[in-house]
Amino acid sequence: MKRRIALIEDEPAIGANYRDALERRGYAVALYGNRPSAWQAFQEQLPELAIIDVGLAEEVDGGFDLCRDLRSLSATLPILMLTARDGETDSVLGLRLGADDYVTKDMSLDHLFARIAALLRRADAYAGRQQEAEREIRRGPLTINLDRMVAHWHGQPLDLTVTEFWMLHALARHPGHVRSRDQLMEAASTVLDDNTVTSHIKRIRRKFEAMDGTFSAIHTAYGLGYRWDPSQC
Amino acid sequence: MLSLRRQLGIVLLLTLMIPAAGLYFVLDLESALREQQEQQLLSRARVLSRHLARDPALMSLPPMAEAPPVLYAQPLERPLFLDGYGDDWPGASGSSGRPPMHDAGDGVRWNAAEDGQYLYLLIRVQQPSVRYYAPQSPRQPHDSVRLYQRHGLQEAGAPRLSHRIRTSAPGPIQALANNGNGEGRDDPRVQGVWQEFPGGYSLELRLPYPATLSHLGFQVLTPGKAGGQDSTVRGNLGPQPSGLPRLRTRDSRLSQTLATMTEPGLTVRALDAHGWTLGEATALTPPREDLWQSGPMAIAQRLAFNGLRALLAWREPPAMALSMTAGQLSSPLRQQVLEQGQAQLAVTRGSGGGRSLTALAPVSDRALLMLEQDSRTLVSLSGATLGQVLSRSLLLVVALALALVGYAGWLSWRISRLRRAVAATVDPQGRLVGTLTPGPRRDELDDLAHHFAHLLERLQGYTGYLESFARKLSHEIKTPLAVVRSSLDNLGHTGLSLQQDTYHQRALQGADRLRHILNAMSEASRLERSIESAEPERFDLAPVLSQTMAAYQDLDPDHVIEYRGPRQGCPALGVPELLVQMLDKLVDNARDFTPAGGRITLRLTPGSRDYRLDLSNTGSRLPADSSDLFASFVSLRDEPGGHLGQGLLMVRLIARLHGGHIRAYNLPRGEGVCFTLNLPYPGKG
Repeated sequence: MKRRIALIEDEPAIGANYRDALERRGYAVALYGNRPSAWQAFQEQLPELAIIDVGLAEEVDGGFDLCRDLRSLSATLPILMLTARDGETDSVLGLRLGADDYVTKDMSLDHLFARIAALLRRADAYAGRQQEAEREIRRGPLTINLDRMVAHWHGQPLDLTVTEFWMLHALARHPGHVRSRDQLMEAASTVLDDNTVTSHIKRIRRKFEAMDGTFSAIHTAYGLGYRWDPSQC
Repeated sequence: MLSLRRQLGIVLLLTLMIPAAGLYFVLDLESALREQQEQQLLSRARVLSRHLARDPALMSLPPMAEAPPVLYAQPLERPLFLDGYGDDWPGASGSSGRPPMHDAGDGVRWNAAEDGQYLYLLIRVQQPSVRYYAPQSPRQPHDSVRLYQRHGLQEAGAPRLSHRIRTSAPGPIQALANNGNGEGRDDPRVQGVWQEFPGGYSLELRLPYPATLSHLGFQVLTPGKAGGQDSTVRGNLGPQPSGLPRLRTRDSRLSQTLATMTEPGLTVRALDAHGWTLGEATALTPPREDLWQSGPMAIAQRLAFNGLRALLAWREPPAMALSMTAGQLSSPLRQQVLEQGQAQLAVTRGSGGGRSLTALAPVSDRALLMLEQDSRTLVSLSGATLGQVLSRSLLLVVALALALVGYAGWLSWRISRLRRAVAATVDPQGRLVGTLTPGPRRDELDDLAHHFAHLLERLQGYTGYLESFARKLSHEIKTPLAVVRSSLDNLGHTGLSLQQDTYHQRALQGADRLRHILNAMSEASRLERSIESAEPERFDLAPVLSQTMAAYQDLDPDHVIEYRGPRQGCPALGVPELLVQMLDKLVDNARDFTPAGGRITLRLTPGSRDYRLDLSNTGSRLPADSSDLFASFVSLRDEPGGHLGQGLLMVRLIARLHGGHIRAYNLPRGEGVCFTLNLPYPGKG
């Protein structure tokens, strides 16, 4: 059975291109050009994953509103935000609107597919649909479940976006090894500038520190990148 | 360049020329007036002297050659007190309190005066010691004075009266009348007091002054040194072969005649050939008006007028002494006038220290007319109306000059203020940091300020637009780029032929490059946002720098990249990640310009006030005009490839976040380029 994906995008060419590409990958895609039509459809049936453009026609922040409303309907529905403006990245992640990840519009479709696949896998894991043996990495108090795409610190779940999860995994897989920014980006299937990588790392650290004030496992190797401190394992 | 202050100084000097020119005009006018006045006084003297020539008092004077000596008694306004000192005589002044005296020769000096009723005689004799009359031995020689009188105008028929005046001690004298037959009796009509002073004695006498008294003379008798009977006769006012000295006093009728010739400030005198005053008349100078009862304008005008007069006095020719000594004019000028028979003019010192203009004219060969014009009335003659006008004009000119200078100063102050205000809107790195808030529009200068404000606003808008341009552009291009990109991705799955695939690949590469460019363009604005949310922390600067440079060396074996400075112990406050990002940009930049094998050195020096970071590289040089190096969209690279010049803008943003200041300059002797960052020490707490 085809997975149902809702695509809310006001730019017809992009919407059509994304729909075509997703359908080619075997997804069933419902394309909406604006917020009201999408919202109306969601009232009847929720998709399995929603891709929402932040700027929707007249509504500059319509995507944010839709994301918030959708999250109120379902707590587990994977939501992927599409952004065109640099400033929106911080809004997506900072406002805690309930999005699971974001993609900038100039990203390649492959990067988009990687995220969609990851998000769906995570949703399946939550739903208990995954029956296979789960792959897990343990680094001291840190547990990373690759199938569920969740990380725990001292048994407590960490609320990470897909990008953040992949970066953390890349760091923790080989403790003590420095991961350059390029390597982190590659691991997270994304293209960012150094500055954005730095803010991602900062955000990951904050999420750890919110649970554990003494957290210091992610070290900065000045001029090189970051590494997971083996002494913390 | 001539600064505004200097120009103002020149304007001030030029403006001062206005009152200076006015002053020169006044001075020239004054000398012309003075000349005219001199001529006027001289011709007046000539006219009056011709008029006086027929006056009987002057016609009766004897010719100078055969004139006998004269004993002149000046008029008194009040009686004198007989005490032998003479300090109440007219003209008595100075610490000695002595009146001016005439010389009679042989150490004898004298002065005479009359009050209509009495005749006073003051005699002063220089003599080492005084021998007084001793009543117990009357034959013994003693000091005495002999007084001669003759009554009646006809000398021949008039009897001669003489008194011998002596005393036995300083004090009242004894006057012995002598009728020609030896010692006579004591005459109470002649009173006097004898006083002794170091080196001589003085004698003050008073005798009746009937109208008939026509001749008067005296002799000083000093006993011989050896104690003999003979006494030395001293003084030239005794009986002469030509007769007794003639008594001369002020002629009241002549004075009345002279009084008709005076006017305010003018003194008219008639003198005889010896300079004795025969008649005198003075008109009172007009009283000064009370300054404090007049208004402030009048006071200012008065001050200006006085200043003008002081200036005029300074320009006046030097004055000569032409003073009257106890009614006698003693000056060689008198002789000159009499001999040449021509009127003469002199500037003299007046009694009050002021200057006078004096004209001397011969009346006949035995009399002179003297006109003395008070300098105060002299100037006020020209000043009464003209001086007032001049001083008022001078006052106005000075006020005008001050107003002009004040106006020029005000204008230049406003221009300087505008300059400062405009300069304050731009920081040393050429960034606009403020706006201009001009006041209301009143004139062109205010208009200029408004234009400047407008210009700055426009410039600020333009700068802001340029800075946001990259962000806006990347936003606007991203969506069409996404269309291109996703279309190309879809196209790749449609089964392209080999040839189509080639073009597809090229299109993909182009889209990728375009994406890179967009990212680079908006990098600085993204950095600005992350700076806004940056949280400074305390960290050790030294290991951050040394580790970073070591990492660069690992990544780049073609250059020598080194760190010099302390290994630790450099506490700093900031965001180390951002500082490293700044170094990324700087080292990246340096690597591009350093030839292979070149050296890139980062030096950390803890200074007295801040850390100093010097990143130098060998090789290239900065072009001469590189002041905007750190601005947006400024790239000094020559090579093609679309370098957007955002790197150094980010360097400056990060430096500023840390309160630091960065500059770039060429090293001496062509050793390369150096970027120096001054990073302040962390504050306490």
